[in-house]
Amino acid sequence: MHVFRWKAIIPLGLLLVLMGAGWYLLLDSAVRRGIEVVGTALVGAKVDLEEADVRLAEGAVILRGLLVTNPDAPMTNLFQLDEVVADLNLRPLLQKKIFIDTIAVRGLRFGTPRATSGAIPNPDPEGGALRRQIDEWSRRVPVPDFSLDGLSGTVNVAAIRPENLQTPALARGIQSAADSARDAWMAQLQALNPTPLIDSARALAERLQGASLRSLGLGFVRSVRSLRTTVSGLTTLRSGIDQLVQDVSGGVETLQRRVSDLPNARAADLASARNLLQIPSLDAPDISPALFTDLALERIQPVLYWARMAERYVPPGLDPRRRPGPSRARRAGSDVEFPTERGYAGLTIAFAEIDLRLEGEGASAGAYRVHIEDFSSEPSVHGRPIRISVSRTEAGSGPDAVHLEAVLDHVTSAIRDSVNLRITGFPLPAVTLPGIGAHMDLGAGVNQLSLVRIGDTVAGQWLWSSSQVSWDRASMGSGRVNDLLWRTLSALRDVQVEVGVSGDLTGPTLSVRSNVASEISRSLRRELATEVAAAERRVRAEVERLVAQPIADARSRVAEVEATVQGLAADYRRQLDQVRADLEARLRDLGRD
Amino acid sequence: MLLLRLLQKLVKTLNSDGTPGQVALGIAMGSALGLTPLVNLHNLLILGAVFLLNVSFPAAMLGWIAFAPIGFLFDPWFDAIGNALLADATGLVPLWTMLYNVPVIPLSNYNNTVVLGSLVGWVVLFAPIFFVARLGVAWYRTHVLPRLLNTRIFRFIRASKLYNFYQLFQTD
Repeated sequence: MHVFRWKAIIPLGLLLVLMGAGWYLLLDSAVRRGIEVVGTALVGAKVDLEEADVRLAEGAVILRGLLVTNPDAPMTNLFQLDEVVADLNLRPLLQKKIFIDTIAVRGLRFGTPRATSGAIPNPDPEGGALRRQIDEWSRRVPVPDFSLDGLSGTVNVAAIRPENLQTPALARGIQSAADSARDAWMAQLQALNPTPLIDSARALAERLQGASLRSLGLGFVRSVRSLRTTVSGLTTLRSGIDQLVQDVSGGVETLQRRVSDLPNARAADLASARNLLQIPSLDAPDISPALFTDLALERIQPVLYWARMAERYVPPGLDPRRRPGPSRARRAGSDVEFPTERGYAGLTIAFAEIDLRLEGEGASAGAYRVHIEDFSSEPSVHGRPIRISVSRTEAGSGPDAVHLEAVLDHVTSAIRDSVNLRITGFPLPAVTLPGIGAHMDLGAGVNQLSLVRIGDTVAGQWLWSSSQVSWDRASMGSGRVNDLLWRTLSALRDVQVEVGVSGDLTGPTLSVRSNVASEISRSLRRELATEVAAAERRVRAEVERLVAQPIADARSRVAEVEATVQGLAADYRRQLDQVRADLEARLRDLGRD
Repeated sequence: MLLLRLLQKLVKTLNSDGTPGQVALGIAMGSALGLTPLVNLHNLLILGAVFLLNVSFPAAMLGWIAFAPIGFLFDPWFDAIGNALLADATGLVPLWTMLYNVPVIPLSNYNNTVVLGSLVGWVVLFAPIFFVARLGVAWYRTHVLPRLLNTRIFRFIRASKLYNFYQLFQTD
C-alpha cells in the first residue's frame, strides 16, 4: 500500500488555486471589514469605510469614503476622508504586520453630519473609566468663590454660628480626650497604688531599727530575706510608675499637638466666615482661580485625557501584550503579541503627508499640511519616536497661523511626550466671569499650549492672549461696587489668561493667573480697601469671640490633666524612693554585723 | 447530491473501503478541523495531508463533523490552555517571540489563546482518537455489520427501490 496518493496532487492543486482565487476576490472586503472592526474598537464609535482597494502587485492600498464617528456626538463624524493611498511594504505582511512606507490623504473634513447614529452598544469601557477618573480629578480641584455681595450691605456677623465653626468642635474634642486620658491614667495609678507596700515597708524598717545579728538571733536570715523582697517589690513598683509617667508624657504631648493645631482651624474658620459673609479677598492670586478655574478645567481635561490615551494606543516597552481575539462563531480568546526590537511593529507608518482644506469663511478656513513620521503601534520595536507637525499653508482670511509640533517618545518605558501648539488669529474662549456676571469675549488672539510629559509627571502651560477683548455687562448687577468693577473691566483691552498644570498625571495641580484679576484687585483696593478692612475686622472679632474661650479651655484642661496625673505619680515616686532608701540603709547596717 | 455521495462513501468506508487504520487516521486528522477554529493555516496543511496521504477522506469528513460540536464545547478549556502557554508560561516567551517574528508563522494565528489551546488539545487527543477509532471500526466490521446485514430492515432496504436508487450513485 502506498503512503502517498499521488493522483490527489492535481485536485489538491486545483483546490488551492480555487482557495487562492477566493481569497484574492474577498481580500478587498476583508480589509474593509477589518478596518471597520479595528477602527470601531479603537475609537469607541462606528467607523465606516465605503471601499478598500488592495493592489498587491503594486504594493498599494486605496481606501475611499472613510467616516469616523465622533464618540461624544454620534450623529457627527469626528472626521471623514475621501481617499487614502498607502504604499505598503509587502515583506512584513508575511509576519502579519503592516508597514506603510508613505501615506497620502485627500479630502479630509471635520465635524460632518452623519445620516445614521454611529453610537455602539458598549463603547470603549477603558476610555470611559479614564474619562470618569479625569472628571473626578476636576471635581476635586478647589474653585474659590468670588462674590462682592458682602460689600454692598451690612455685615451680618450673627450669621456666623458656632456650630458651623470647626475650632470649637475641635477644642471640645481635645477636652473630652484629655478627660478620658486622665480617667484612664488615674485608674492605672490606682491599680499600681503603692500605699500598702509603702506602709508595710515602713513597718519593717521601724521593726529593724537598731537591730543586729545578736538581737535577731535565728531570725536574722529571715529578716534579711524579707528586707530584700520588699526592696525588690518597691523597685518593680517604681518601674511600673515610671512607665506610666512615660505614657502620660506621650499622651500629653499628643494633646498639646492638637492644641497647637487650633490656630490653623481658627484661620480656616475665619476664611470660611469671610466666604459666608461674601467678603472677598482682594489678592490677585485668590481672584484668578475664582474667575478662570472652570474655563481652565474645561480646556485642560481633554488634553489630560489624550495624554493618557496616547500611552494606551502606543504603549511603551516590549512586554507581551494582550488584545481581544477576532470575532468568530467560536470563542474569540485573546491574541497575545510578542514584540521584539529585531522585528516589525504591528502597524508602522514611516511617513504620512496629509493636505487638508477647511472650506468656508470662518477663521479656521484654509489649507493645512500634516506630517507624521515614524508612527508605530509599538515604538519600542520601531526604535524611533513619533513626530507630528501641522502647519497652515494658506489662510482663508487674515494673517492667521497654526503651528503644532508633537513628539511622542514611547521607545523606552519612560515616556517622554511633548506638544507645542501656537495658533494666532483664531477665536479664543468667551466666558462669563463667575461672581461678577460680566461676559468677556477674548476675540481673536494667540492660543499657545506647551505640554511635556516625562514618565508619570506632566508640566504644561496654556496661554490665551488677546488685545481685542470685548465686554458685556450681561448679568452684572448695579450699585457702587459693580459699577466700579464694570469701569475697570470695560477699560481692559489686553487680556492674558495663563493656566499651568504640573505634577502627577493622574491628579496634577492646576494654577491660574490673569491680568484681569490683577486689575480687579488693584481697583478694589484703591476704592474699597477701607470697607473691606472694616468688614474683615468685624468678622475676625466675631470669630475670635466664638473660638477664643474653647481654645483657652482646651489648653487649660490639658495642662490640668498633666498636672494632676504627673503630680500624683511624682508623689508616689517620692514616697517609694524614700522608703526604699530606708530599707537599703537597714540592709547595709545588718551587713556590717 | 454531493452530500448523498459523501454519505454513501462514508457507509462504504465503514463497511469495506480501506483498512481500519486508514479510516481511524482519517477520523483523527479530520478531528483537527472540528476541534480547532476552521479558518486557520494549520487546517489547510491538515487538509492537504488528508488529500495526499493514503488515509480515508470520508472518514476525515466524519471526524470533522463529529468533533465540531466538541470543539465548541471545549472552547473554555482550550482558551485556558492557550492562556497558560502564551501568557503564564514565562519560560516559553522567547519561543513565542521568535515565532512571532518569523515570516508566515504569525499568519497561523498561533498567538491566539483558543487556536493554540485547541491545537495542543488536538495533538494530545490525536493518538487516543486514532486508537479508539481503529478499534471501533474493526469491532463494527466483525460484530455489527454482519448482524446488520441480516436484519429484516436492512434486507428490506436492499430489496427496495431505495437501494436501487443508492446503487445508481455507486462509482465502481
